Amino acid sequence: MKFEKLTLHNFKQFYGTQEIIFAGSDNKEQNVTVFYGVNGKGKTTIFRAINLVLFNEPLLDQDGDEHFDTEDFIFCNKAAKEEEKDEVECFAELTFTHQNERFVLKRIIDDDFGINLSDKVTSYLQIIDMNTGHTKEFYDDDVTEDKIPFIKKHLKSYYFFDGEKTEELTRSHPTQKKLVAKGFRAFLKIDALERLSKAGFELEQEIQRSLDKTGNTKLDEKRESFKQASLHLEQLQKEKNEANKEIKFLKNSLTSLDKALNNFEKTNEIKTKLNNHMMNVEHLKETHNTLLQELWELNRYSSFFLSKNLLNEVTVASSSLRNSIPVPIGLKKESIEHLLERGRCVCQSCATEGTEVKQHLEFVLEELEKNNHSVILDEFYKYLTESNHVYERNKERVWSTLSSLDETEQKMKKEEETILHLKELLGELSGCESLSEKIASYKTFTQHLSEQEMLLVDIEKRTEKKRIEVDSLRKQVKELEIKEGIVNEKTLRRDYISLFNERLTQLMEKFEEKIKPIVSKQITKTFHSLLSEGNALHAYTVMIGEDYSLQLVDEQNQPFLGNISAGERQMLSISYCITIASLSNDANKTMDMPIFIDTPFSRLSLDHRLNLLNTLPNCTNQWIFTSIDTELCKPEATCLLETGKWGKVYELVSNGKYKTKMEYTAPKTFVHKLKEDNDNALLSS
Amino acid sequence: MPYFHHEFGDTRFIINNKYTGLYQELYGKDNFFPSNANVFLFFASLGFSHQKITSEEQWNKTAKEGRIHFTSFKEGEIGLFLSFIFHEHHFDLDKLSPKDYSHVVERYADAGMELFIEHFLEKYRYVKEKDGIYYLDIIDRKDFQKDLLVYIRDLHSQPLTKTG
Repeated sequence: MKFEKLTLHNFKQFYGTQEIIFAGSDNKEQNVTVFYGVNGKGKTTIFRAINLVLFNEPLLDQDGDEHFDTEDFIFCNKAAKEEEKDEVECFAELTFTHQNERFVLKRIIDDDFGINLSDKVTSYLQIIDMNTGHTKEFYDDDVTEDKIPFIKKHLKSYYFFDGEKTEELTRSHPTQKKLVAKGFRAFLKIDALERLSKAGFELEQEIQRSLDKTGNTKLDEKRESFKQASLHLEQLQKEKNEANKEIKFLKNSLTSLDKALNNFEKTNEIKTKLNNHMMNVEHLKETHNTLLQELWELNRYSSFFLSKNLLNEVTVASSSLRNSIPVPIGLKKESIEHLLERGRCVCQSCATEGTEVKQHLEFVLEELEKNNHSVILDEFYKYLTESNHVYERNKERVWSTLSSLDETEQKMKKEEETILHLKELLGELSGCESLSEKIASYKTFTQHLSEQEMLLVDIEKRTEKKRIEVDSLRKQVKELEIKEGIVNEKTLRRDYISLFNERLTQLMEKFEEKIKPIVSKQITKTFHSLLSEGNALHAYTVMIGEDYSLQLVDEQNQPFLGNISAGERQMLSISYCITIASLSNDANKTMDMPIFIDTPFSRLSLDHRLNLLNTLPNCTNQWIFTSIDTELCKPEATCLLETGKWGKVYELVSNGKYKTKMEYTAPKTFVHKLKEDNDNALLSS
Repeated sequence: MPYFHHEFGDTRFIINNKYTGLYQELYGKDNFFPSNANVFLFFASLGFSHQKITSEEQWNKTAKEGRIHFTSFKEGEIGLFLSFIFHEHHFDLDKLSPKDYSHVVERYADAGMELFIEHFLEKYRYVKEKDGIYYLDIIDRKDFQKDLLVYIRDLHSQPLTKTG
């Protein structure tokens, strides 16, 4: 189905007759149409008009519930009413094609007629065979749904939706889940298959009942045995299904438990590592304290370190001064006094009274006593040497203690970072605490699984046995019927219907088995493509439940749907709609219906908006959306233009009081204008 | 009797009155420094390493009292103390006795204390002032010890100023 043209005549804000052509109707490549305008200019009116024309529903979900006051609701353009005073015609008309036919569907509204909104609407439908040109026309009550069977009212919320409300489709709520399941079953025609299956069984029973009236006692007995055996087989089949379901549940539970236990093992590993690192930190803290204490004791030498340049300089100066003094500074007064007292010089010459040696020694002693400066310098040098020794002795200690302290602090920092990282990992793996409970569950489930598997084997054996019995009884009944000469059209019909029912049941089982993983995979793929890069939900999977409800599960297979944001839910809802609608249609996996979304971007961040703009045009024949000025800005518009899919944009602009005009702009021109506006805004700011 | 012991005898080196509280606490019960003389030398070294000295004029006007006994100097400390003096009078022992230069060390210590207050005590809010006298204002002595160590460690790591 493709939309070609929308005509509005005095329809709400749209004064006079205004027509727009949809992108994609004439050009397959460019299939996106945008209605752009500020609040109150009629974007939702476009949505309302299409909704009215296709589904004959004047109200939208956003209008509220059944308590909506319809008297306040006016369809006819107010300006036209004021100008013409008399009855003003108001209608919305949509031209669309489906297969080889063109449809012109028109809804005319008379605000002044009737009490209920539905009373105010009259309809007109024209169907043109595009091959032959043959035209059929229908009016009012003759415009029925069966004339346009491809437009399914109960599925409309999957094609035509309000952007803000889409997220409701995937809320974690039983009602919403039922709604999703309903759509799913309807789109994939599972409901239809079930109805067909039910009808088949009813028909078989009906034929059998009429056949039961013919024949003799022996045949009746045989038929009764066959009936009982069939019922028993059916019962066994149900038991088998139940057992299979239980086994599936147990296997899933065991997989989840396996993951949880693996996590527990990981947790234990991390805890061991964490303990080791924490012990390391404790040791390092002790070392750090010891080093601080050591450094503390070295504080007394701080003055020497601060004055090391001074000590060096003074040491050099005093050494040089000592060398310039003629008397060897190393010669001490006490030494000369000692030589004189001993009466012998260092060269062993006698230095007794009257000797020349003694006279010389006495001269030196006198000189030394006189040379006070030398003594001072000598004494100073002694103290200075001591100071230098103190500095030298402690220099290595201070620097090695300082460097050990730095090293220890760095190691502590590293260890603390590792501890923080490990704690974060532990936080992510939380929920693995109740190991004993999990092990107990694992044991119980394993035991239960083994019991169920044994039960299933037993049921399968009994089923097979019963099936043979049923086949044999069927054969016997048939033989007796032949013998009794009552093989007729009815028995043949019964046999065919029976075979059909059997095949249909098998088909449905296979379909269910195959379709769920396909849909799950496809929705997950689309959802991931719409998510922003780095979003944690990339690791999550969309699952289809037993009842066809939708669930989002995390890496541990745990339900997570209730925890995602409204924006993410909107993306999930859109993924769901696109997937089931496209899977239900054709092998190309594109939707056969146009998608209409009223303001799709409001809840979405820019990266999500861009992903949606890149993805959606490829999933449908036509995409129509409305947008306000703050949603479709330069980045969004540029992105859409670059997809090459953007065919038309209609700007909804004011054209006087109560009047809106739909102005066509080529997308390129529109983007250029947005850029200019943006640049001007930047310049003026 | 060694010359310097004879020269300085029971001399008490003078410190600024307003710093007496700090001196007392820095070498007091927590032994941040082992002695008053060690504190004195630390501040003299700090002033000297930053080439900061209280001017003679300022020093003359300052109210001060003798607190540091020459005899309190321990191993190596006399040498360091004398180094300030010898450096100051350029080894010219003819003019004046070393004792006459001891006020130079006092002025370096005074300037060093000022630096210490400004760069450490005030920065970390470890100081209070009462009646013109500074006191330590410490809640957790361990924190103070740690910060003081870091401060001293940073001083050690700094390239020291080349002296004249």
